[in-house]
Order: sequence, then structure tokens, then C-alpha cells
Amino acid sequence: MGADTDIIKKYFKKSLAGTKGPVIGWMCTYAPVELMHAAGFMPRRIYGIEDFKKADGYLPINFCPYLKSSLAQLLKEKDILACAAFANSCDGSRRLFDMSREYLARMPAYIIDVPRSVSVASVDFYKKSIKKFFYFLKDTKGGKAGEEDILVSIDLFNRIRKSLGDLKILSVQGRLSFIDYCKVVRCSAVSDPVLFIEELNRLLEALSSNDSRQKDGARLMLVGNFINEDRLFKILSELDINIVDDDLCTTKRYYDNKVVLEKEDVFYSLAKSYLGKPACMRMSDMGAKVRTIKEAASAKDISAIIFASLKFCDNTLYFYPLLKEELDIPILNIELEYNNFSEGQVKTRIEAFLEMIW
Amino acid sequence: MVKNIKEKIKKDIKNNLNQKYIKRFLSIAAKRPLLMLLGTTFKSQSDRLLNLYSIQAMGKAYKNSSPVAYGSLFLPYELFHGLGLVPFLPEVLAGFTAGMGIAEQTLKEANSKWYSPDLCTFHRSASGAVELDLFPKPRFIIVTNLACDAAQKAFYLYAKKFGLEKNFYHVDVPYHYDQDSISYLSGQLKNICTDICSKLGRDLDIEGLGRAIDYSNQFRHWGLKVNQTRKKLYSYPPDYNGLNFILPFHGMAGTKDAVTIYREMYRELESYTGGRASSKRQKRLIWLHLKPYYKNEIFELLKKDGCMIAFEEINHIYWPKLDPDNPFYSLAVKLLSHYLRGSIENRARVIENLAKDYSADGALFFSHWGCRQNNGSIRILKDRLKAAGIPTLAIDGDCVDKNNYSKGQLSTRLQAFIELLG
Repeated sequence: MGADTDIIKKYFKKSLAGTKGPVIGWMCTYAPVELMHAAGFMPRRIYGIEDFKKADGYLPINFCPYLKSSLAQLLKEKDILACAAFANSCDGSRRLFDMSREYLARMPAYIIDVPRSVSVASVDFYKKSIKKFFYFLKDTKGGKAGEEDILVSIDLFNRIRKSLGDLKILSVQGRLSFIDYCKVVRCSAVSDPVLFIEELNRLLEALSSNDSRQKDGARLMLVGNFINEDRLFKILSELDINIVDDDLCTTKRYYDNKVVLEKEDVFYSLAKSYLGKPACMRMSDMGAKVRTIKEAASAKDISAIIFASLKFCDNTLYFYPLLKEELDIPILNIELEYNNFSEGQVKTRIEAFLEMIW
Repeated sequence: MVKNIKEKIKKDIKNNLNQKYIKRFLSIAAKRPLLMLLGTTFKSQSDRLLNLYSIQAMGKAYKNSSPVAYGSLFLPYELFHGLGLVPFLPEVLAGFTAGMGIAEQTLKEANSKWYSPDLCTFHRSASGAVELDLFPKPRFIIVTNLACDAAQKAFYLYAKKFGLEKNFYHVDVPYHYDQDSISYLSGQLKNICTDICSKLGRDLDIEGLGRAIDYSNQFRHWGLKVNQTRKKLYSYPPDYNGLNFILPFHGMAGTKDAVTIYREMYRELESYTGGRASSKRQKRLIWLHLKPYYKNEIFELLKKDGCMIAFEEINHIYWPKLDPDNPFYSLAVKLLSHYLRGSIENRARVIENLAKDYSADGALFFSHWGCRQNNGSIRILKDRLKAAGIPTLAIDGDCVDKNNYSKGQLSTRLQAFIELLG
């Protein structure tokens, strides 16, 4: 966590200030933002707030710190948010949705049923699930949004995601620091998408003329869950390493997704692409996830993995023993809290790891 | 003497912690003459049948003469029995590791294999047991996400360990209960059964499934009668504890054994309905979630302070009568009817009704470390029960790891709570 400075202030002033339409707070990369936007909402991802002591009264100490932090944000912003969208992604998310229903009853909220497997049946189920979500959005917002609006939103978010992918390439080329890349991705999820894509394209243009400054150090991959820790990103940016791939809820798993229109059915197309995007560790086939990581590591000549997990995330914590067992490259496990980060300790551990592998 | 024999068995297993020894022990213990002898050592019919049938079930799994399938707790076991699979429930066995005093070893093993200590000890202990090769080798592994995320992840790791990724099945239970969910779920159940049968070289035995569902309905019938009878009970048979019946309630659903256990339990409990409340009325409590499965004093303390567990949430019969002619549809409905599916609203409603039906003076919530779905709901459930005039005490603890149990602290909290009940 941390203040959005520098690159954000310089390039994304307008999109961050954009307040067109009522704001919908959303969580989880399986929630289709296209539908929220098409229904007339301004989608804003819930990242949580740094001071979440208030959530301690609602959720236990050994509970996902991101979700606790998000609850604190929802309690704080209940009068700002017109609506909230959750996904049935994990036990913690279900409980957070319960909290919002119980203690923020006046704020309309919906939980999207997301399957855990990818099959013909699950895509069909998810299609029906997001269709119901869209009806909820329309009922809540009012208005006559339809499939044409969804198509427009699909096109907009496809462009945003494509440009974020381009941004990652520039970051790997050393034209942009890893921390700045993470900040821009975060900005994309909390700003006006129409303005954001214009500002992002301006940034891409400016960066393309920068010199490529790839570092000499190791090529690493960052794998984890909802990692939104600028102090970690800063450490990784300052060390002599290249983060050539990142599989996080806050980066690639959010934007590495292109919705391709199939069967002239927008809901089917959305369902298929969202279930086919880089998988969260919640998904049933953990083996497939391991294979994806291994293939990426091999294709991108990655020499080691940093595995960053927020504490108390069962899906991630169970994934680690499997990944460690299956990998043929070194892996470093870092468990993080959401607002309590021991910079010195983490830096020392990463440096020691790098000495070992490089 | 009986106590000494049981302690000796525990000690022997602890000192000979390997599958071969467990197998040998069960092959002897599960034989009829010894079972009959063992049966005489139990003080109540319910406890006797529970233990004997559990030993038999475990003996069958360790014998491995029929295909063994690991299953997570909330699956519809009618499917297993209908397909002729021998179920083995690692989560229940994790409770046994606590009861047998070997959880320290299984948890240590899990830690050494990179399982985080922040994870639920039911799954960690079971994982440790798998790593130590204490559990029988399965042919299939079936799991559901109903109730929690941890099971589906831990079970996948078992599949990996046994090289059974292709025989790993995840029953994906949706959040919402509607027609789309029933279709999605019943389709999954049918596909899983068809695939298992094809791997076993058999045709899908719909009649077999129908028979299992018939038994399940009979078990449900007697279970409902048991639960009805418990509303008017002021005392229980010796050693009766409703929290012990997890294996028959889940893993034996669809068998004649479950029918027998619940029919006999009903008859035994009925014979206790004549008792009157003592002059100082007992305080009736509803128990929420599970209990510690290692030696502990909670229930003695409650009894000493004039409390009885009027009912346990886990014994609530939540599903409607099943249709033997539509097994997949029926079992999908059974899964979706579970109060731990979806919103906490389902569970809150059930608990509020139980508190009313069983004339509860209070509720005890055992908050098992690492159980996110449960612990994340405590605040809401406490508030709901408070609004309904039911005081609630949440006890922080661990069902499996006795190192997280503090007798002194627990006793103080329990006494303060009981005083509050008046």
C-alpha cells in the first residue's frame, strides 16, 4: 500500500478525478467490469484502506487482511458507493459479502457465483450467473442498458487490458520501473476507464521513446495473491533484478484477458474469457496452474520465483507446497500482512535469496 | 480395566505409527468375536454402535479389497455406497489423530512439508498422515468446496501425492440455490459417477444408487425422530455426545449401518424421555461448530455447572427426502440445501430455529483456529442470537491441536458465561 505519487500524478490526473456516474465498488478479478460499466456504473476496485482497526470488531484476527481492510473501506465509504459487487471466490469473500449485507444493508450488493473449473458446463453456468448479475445491476441503476452497451464496454476494457500488457513489456524492457507498472495497473482499476485509456496511451508513447535499461541481474517471476504493497514493489524495483513476469490478483490475473465475441452472445463470450484468463489459485485444477507457471518460467528464461502471499489465504497457502515440490527453479516464500510490512527484513531475505541463486 | 485397554491401544498405535500396524490392528479389531467383546465395554447402545461401525468402516478401507475413495465431509456419500466405493474421510480421521494422541506427529510432518501453521489443523493433520503414509491408498479422490476452500486444496495435494490427478473429482457447489445450480450440480454428479464406473469397468448402476438413497431416506427418518426426541430430554445415556456422530451422519449416509445406528439411538434416547428436570433447572445449550477431539474437560465442566448440550448444529437434518428414481437431482438438492452453502443467512436461520426448538438458554460457539468460513461468521451469528435473546459464548480453540487448548482460561470463560445465564 502507499500513496500514488509521481507517475500517477503526472499522467493520470484526469482519469483519477473522473466521477461520471454512480460508483460501484468491486472485488475479485472474476467480476466482469464490462457489465458494471455497461449498466452505467463507474467501476472502482476495492483495494482496502491502511487503517483497518475497525474491521477487527467484525472479523477475527486470523482472517485475510485484504478483506478486513476492504471491510474497513466499505464501512468508511458506505455513503460514496452506490453499489458493491463481490464474487464467490473464497471463504473470506463470502463472509465479507455477508458483512456488507448485515451491517451495510442500505448499500445494494451482489455476489457473483464463479465456478471453480473450466468446462463447457461451467462456462454455461457462469454465463447464466453473470447474466443475473447484469439484471441486478440494471435493476439497481435503472435505465435501459442492453447488449449494445456491453459490446461498447467490452471494446473499451479490451483496449485497456491490451495497453496494460504493452506497459508490462515496457517494464520488462526497463523503460519503466516495476513499482510504476504496478501503480499504473492499480490506477486502471480505480479510475474512469474512458479517460484512463487516453492517458495510458499517452504514457505508453512517452515510455516508448525511453531508453531500454534492462538490469544485469536475475530474471524473476513474482507469484502471489492480492499483493498491493508498494514497499515490496519498491524493493524489487531497486534491486538488480528483472521481474519479467508477475502472476498476482493485482496485476496479470486482472488484465491478461481479452474478451472475444463468440456465438454472438456477449454473456457467453464474457464467461468464457473470464474463466479462461490466468487462473486464481482458488480454481480446482491446481496442477494446471503449476504447469502455467512452469511454462512461463521456461519460456521467459526465469531463474527463480518470489512467492508472496497475504497471510491467511488458504487457497494460496495450499498452493505453495505443491508449487515448491513441482518447480525445478528456486522459490522464496514471503508471507505479508496488509499494513504491517517489515521492509528491512523482507529486503534482507530477498537479498540473501538472490545471493544464493545468482 | 476398559480404560486401561483403550489407553494401551492408543499407546501401541502411537509407538508403532505406520500403516502396517494400523492395518493389523484393525484387521483384528474388526473381526466379529473381538468386536462383540469390544462392544461390551461401551456404556450406551448409541456409543457402542458408533464405535463398532466406525471400526468396521475403517477396517474395510484399510483392507482395500474394494476400491477406496477419499471424500471430504459434506459430500453426498450415497454416491459412494451406490457405486460400491469404500469411503475414507481424511477430515474425520484427522479428528481421530487428535483422539489417539498422534496429531503432534502428523502436524509436525505437515509443517516439514511446507504447510503453513495458519491452515486448519483438520486438513494439516490429515495431510501429515498422508505424508507419513498412515492412510490407505485410494483409487479415487472426491472433494467439494461446500463449507470451505481448504478441503479442495488439501485433497488435490493428496491426489498429487498418490499420482491420482486423473481420478480427482471436484464437486463444485454453487453459491446460490436455484434451478441453474441444481442442473449444474446434478450434471457434475452424473459425470463423476459415469467416469468412475468407466474406470472401474462397470456400467452405471442406477438401481444401486436408488438403493443407497432408500437407505439414506430411512436414516433421515430415524435421524429426524432422534432430533425430535432430543427436544424433550433432560439427560443422555452415559458417554453420549452428539458431536461424535460425524462419520455415520455423513460417511455412512446411504448404508444400512446408518439406519441401524439412528434407529437404535432413537430407541435408546426415547427410554430417557421419562426423566424430569432436576429442581435446579438445567441450562440448555446449543453447540455450534465442532469440538476438540483430544482429551479435554469442556463437557465435564458444563455438566458440573448444570448445563446440557440440548443440540448440536451439526446434527441438524437439512435436506428433504430424496427421490431414488432421480439420484443426481436429489443429491444435488441435498448438497445445495446445506446451511453452510452460500450466505450466512442460511446458517443464521437454522441456528435461530434450533435455539427456539430446543428451548436453548444459550449457545456455545467453538471457534476452531484456521476455519475461515466459520470464524468469519461469528460476529453476525452472535448479533443475530443476541437479538433473539440467546446469549452466546465463542470459545477460541483448536479441534485437533491440543497445544492450543488452555484449561484454566476455558474454565474461567465457561463459568462466567454460565453465571450470566442465571
